Amino acid sequence: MKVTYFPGGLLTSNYKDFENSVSRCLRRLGADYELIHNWSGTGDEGTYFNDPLAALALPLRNLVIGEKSTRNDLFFVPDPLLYQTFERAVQRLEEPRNDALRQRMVDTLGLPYSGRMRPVNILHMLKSHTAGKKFDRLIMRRLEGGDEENPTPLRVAVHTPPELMRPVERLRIDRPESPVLLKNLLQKAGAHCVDWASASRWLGGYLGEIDQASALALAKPVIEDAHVAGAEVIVTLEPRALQTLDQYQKEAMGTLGLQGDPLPIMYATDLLNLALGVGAATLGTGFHITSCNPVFERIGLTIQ
Amino acid sequence: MESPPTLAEEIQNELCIDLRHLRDWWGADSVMASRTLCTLGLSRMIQLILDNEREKVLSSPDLWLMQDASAATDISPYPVDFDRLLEWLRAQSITSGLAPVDHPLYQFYQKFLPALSEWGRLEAADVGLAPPVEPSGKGGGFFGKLFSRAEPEEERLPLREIQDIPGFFAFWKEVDGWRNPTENEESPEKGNSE
Repeated sequence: MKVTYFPGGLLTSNYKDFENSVSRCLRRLGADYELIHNWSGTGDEGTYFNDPLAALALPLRNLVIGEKSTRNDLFFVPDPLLYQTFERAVQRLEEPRNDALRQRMVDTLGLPYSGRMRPVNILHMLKSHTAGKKFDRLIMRRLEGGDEENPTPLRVAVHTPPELMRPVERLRIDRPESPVLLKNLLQKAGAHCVDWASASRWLGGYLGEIDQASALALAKPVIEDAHVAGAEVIVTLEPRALQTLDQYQKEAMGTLGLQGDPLPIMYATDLLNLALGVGAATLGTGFHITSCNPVFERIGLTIQ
Repeated sequence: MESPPTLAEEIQNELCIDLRHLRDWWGADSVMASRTLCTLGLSRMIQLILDNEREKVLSSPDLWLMQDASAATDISPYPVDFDRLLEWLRAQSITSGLAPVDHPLYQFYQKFLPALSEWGRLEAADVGLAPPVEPSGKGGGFFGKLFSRAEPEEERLPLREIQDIPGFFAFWKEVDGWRNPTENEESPEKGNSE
């Protein structure tokens, strides 16, 4: 199955590590994608919050280009926030009351829009490329330490961003309150996913980057839950959530009076990459504030 | 003489959302992580809408903070699309001039728009998420670049046209032109940005 890939949403600048992690993981899983040319930004959340007209027009232009230049039916948007923007735009464009507006935009573009393309996110991609026994066969490294007779699985707190699972009635990709998709994949790879209360807690999107007080208020319960659950690493699929947790973990631990070392924060696709045989040095975790070396050492990898 | 419609009536007419059943529903606050950041919160906001406190509702920065409203939709006892409701309220807030324009959150999201009309794409520096790239000390021109030891700067060119696909800027200019007040009837919500 081939998909059309849309690399917007700061994936080429701030969140290069996320893009790198996702594309590596998908290549290992055998996913095939085509990048669209002449794509334009959609203003991320800015247009959605402040400019309803642009929030429809800008995604529509990219969808039209996708339809024109590729033969695929799926429009893959790796960035969770941008995926929401596309999902909402497609939903609004399908509504009869926006028919005239859609026609006007299409006329301006001079290209047909059939509404063929459906936006998909990273959860859709992982689900469709790990079905059946395929994923089991691809695993090259178990996410566990200890010896072969008594392996001790890596304890992982899996955070699935709520942006990837909503609106529930349209997506139905995972359980919104207790997501299992990522958990199942990591458990197949040998990790132990701890039960914790922040499995799908919202972490503020861009708020974490612009307002310290908000970031701390949103990160504190997540950090506390992960420490109390006895996790060794927190994994997520939202680059802004990773940044918020990584940046404010020490401060949150100080405020909460938590003892011990801060937990490494990684992308879920980083752990999947490790299980699929990718080297630790190529993951791009060197930029994280909290070192991820304890995770690598735990599963028997050495970092030069 | 007919009195003007209340805010709740307008919502019912425009969006077919009836909030009357949710007057005493406090469950929204318990599932929304943004409640810790908001002054009002969704439940209190619903009460204010029903009480027709138009100014309080439309001037509240909470409209821009409650980005996880879909969590409330999941548990609502009546099928209400809160995302849609907040979209409509934000548009009303902007068109009625009550938007909290001095609030840093509002200003932050406004920054996403000029970057698009200039470059067609968004970069971290455009919205203040990365330091802006300073121009190098050496002069430009052919010899300046030839003798400069610094790495050549990556120039950000506007998007290139490819055959058959209309350019971004022409499209953006056209869409921008639709903001003319006389043509506002065809906009997705009643109001657009100022």
